[in-house]
Amino acid sequence: MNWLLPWLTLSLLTAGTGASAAYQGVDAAVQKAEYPSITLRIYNSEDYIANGDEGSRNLVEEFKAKVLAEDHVNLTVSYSTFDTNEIMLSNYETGAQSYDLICTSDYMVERMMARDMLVPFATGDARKTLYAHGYEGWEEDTYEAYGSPFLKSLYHGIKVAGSDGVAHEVNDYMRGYMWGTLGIMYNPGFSVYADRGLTPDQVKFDMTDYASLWDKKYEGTFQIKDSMRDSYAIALLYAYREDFSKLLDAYQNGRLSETDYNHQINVLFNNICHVDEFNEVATSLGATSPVTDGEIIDTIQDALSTLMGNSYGLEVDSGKTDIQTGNRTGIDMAWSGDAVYAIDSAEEYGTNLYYSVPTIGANIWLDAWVIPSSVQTQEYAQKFIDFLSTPEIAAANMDYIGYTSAVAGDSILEQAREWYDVRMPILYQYDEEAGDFVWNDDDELVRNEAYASLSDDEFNALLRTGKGTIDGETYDSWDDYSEKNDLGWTAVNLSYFFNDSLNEFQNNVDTVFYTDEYESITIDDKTITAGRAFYAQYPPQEIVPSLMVMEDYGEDNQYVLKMWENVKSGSVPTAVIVILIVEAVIILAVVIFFAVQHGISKGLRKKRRAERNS
Amino acid sequence: MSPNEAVAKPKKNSKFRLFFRLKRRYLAIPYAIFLLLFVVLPMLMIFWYAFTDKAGNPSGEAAVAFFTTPSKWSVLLVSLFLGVQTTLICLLLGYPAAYILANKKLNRNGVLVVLFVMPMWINFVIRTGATRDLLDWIGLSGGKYPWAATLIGMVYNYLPFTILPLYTTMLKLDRSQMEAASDLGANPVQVFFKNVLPQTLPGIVSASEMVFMPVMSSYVISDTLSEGKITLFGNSIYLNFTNSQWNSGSFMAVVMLVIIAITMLITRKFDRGDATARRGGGLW
Repeated sequence: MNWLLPWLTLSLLTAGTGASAAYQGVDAAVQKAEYPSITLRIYNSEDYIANGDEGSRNLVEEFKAKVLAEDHVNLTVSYSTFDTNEIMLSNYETGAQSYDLICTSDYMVERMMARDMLVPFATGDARKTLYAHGYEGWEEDTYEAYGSPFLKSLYHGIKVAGSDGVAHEVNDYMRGYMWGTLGIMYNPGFSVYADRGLTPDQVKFDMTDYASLWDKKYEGTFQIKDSMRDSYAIALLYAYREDFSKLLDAYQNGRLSETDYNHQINVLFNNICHVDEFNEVATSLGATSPVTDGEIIDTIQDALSTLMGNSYGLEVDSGKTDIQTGNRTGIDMAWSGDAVYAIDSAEEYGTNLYYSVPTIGANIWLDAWVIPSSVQTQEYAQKFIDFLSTPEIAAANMDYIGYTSAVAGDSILEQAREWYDVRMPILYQYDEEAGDFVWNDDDELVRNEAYASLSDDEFNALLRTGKGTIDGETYDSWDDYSEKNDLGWTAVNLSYFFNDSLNEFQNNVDTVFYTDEYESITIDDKTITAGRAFYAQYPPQEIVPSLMVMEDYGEDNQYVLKMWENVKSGSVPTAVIVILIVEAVIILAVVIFFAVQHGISKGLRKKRRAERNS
Repeated sequence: MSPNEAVAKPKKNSKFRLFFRLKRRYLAIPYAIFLLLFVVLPMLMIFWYAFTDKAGNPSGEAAVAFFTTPSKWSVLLVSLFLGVQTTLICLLLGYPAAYILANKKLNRNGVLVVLFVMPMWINFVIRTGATRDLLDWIGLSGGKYPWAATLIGMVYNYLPFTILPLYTTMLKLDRSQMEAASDLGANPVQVFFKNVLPQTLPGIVSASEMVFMPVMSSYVISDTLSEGKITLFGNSIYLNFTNSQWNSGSFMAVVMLVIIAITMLITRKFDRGDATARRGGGLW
């Protein structure tokens, strides 16, 4: 979110003065005096939308142009940015500014719902009524149609009650924007690991387990997030790893359905102080003594204190740069979006970074749009979401931001395939110099000459199966191609994310990707998958059931904050106290000494004066 | 000056003077507004939040929470510790340095002073980032030695603030007094303790003030150089504010104000009448 430098603010300034006009395929919206004017006020993280920089599309301007053309409305967009969700909330709470649309994280959506700060998105007929300035051109509720069913189901059932005590579905109040996981980014080639006798394969293997971070063999080589929620999450997963792996085991052996499994790990993950539900799950796993109130948070505090002692340090933003040079740190807790960026830019330093989501599960993050109750034009707030959630637009946005869009659909699938599918450069023309595929005038990829004569159906069949002639040789399948050419490809099916959102492409078939980034490593009869940017962008199917949503702590936030303060302040080293006391004594002694001396000389002077005067 | 003269002079151009006076008073208005908006009002708000609860009712909740939470005490202790150490080290390093700089024989054209002050021309966040890399390069990274790295960074950042006031006091050292002292039989050590030190005391006091207080409240340096392992008072307040704990955060800010007020009171005892002239007043 903040890795592409604050170009956004800059470009907005220039756009405001009409100096920048790098829109792609859109003429700058020329406002017409006879049309009504409406202002849409958007509040987003910095640099979190394609804005025309670096050859991207300017989505705000495109939206304004669409509104002008469809609705005959002069739309003005007032766009402001913030640093963190917490700053956004306090700015909004103090009421200095009001907005029509805010982009924030899942837990903050819940917090705002609990404080009656949000209004739900209108759907169906209500939506039609809402669109008073024109329904034509906005018929399709694009998020409904293309928002990833996977993410919707993940948040389905999470309810938050406002002050009236009535619980509402979070899904009705937010529209997903970007999502990802909190995982471990690491450099298996870090020199310290070689010195400690750890092979790269061993490191890759260890990074699928949170416990490695508590292990002395990784001491002083990793950074953790200086963020309460994220650190809490990994400490919880570590402290109760036995329970989590028992549940995983039950799921893998078919004793638990995927839904039940995901429900139960979420219960373990989300019960800080209310231990009844936690105990229910724990007892079913064979726990003999139930945990008591406050015990979980104390356990996590101990775990975090140990973790901090074992770490190189805490970071907010510097971690992804520290690991790239390859000589400061070897591991960094990272959000997947940052990891994709870091893995890419570390290659300049010759550092090969990897990303892993530990097998027992991980925290998922989702940034979403919400409509605050201060909304003045809900119509255009929702129309903007409709616009952003159009797969084609979402793909352009994803291309600029680099995170994973919460929208699925054909265009996003194509975008992901261009980025990661290793079959693409074989079948399509790739311009090494430009670092991009070659496009024709209809905005379609240009096939490689060898396949130019194939009919569309034949070409698609080749893409799907790999059966046919590739580079002059005949193959049965892509697996066959990979094997014969010793490429080490792995087939990855992203059906969990794309199924039921596709129009042109086929569920389960076209969602298959081939990647050369996956490595399979077996140690002690246990096999793990190590991956890189593709793994970070779309986690592999096998770990998807283990992804959890960490809900807002609600009232319990104060306990977590207290715990975090305890962890961060640590215990004062005895040396500090001793030195302070010694210094205080010395300073006091000097002061008293001078004061006494001063008093004595003053007394003497007085005496002398008295003698002189007498 | 006779009273006649005093009255006669302004009469000559009284209209101009009147106009000018009025104008001068107006010139103070922007600053008065600034003062009210950015100094008085925030201060009042801090006190308001410190002594109310979430609902806005008067309450000592935040105060009780502060004094009963060990983590807040340890943050306070650590901040005090770093503040005192940095001040002492800065004085130990800065005092002889200032003496040398003030010595016309050793520092003929003042180039050395510029060298000492030059790091201040670079933004301190950038400087701290560079210090982090430098410390890592010489093997003193915050990951391994958080305390040492933080102390070095603090001293590096605040040393110019120690040297400048000391330097300005030492420029005004009355050398004839020192000569008289040695002529009257004082050995160099006695000259230093009985003459030089008392003469430069105002400089020492203002140097300490300029280092101790900012170090207590700084957080960028400790955060960057200790790799987040040392939490100072400033970090703690920030953490509270970002978690909407306005009341406890504000109370911590009040505690900070009290500590600063106490140090001011103590150090003022050592100030002399003409101290303001001797201090490096141009800095603050």
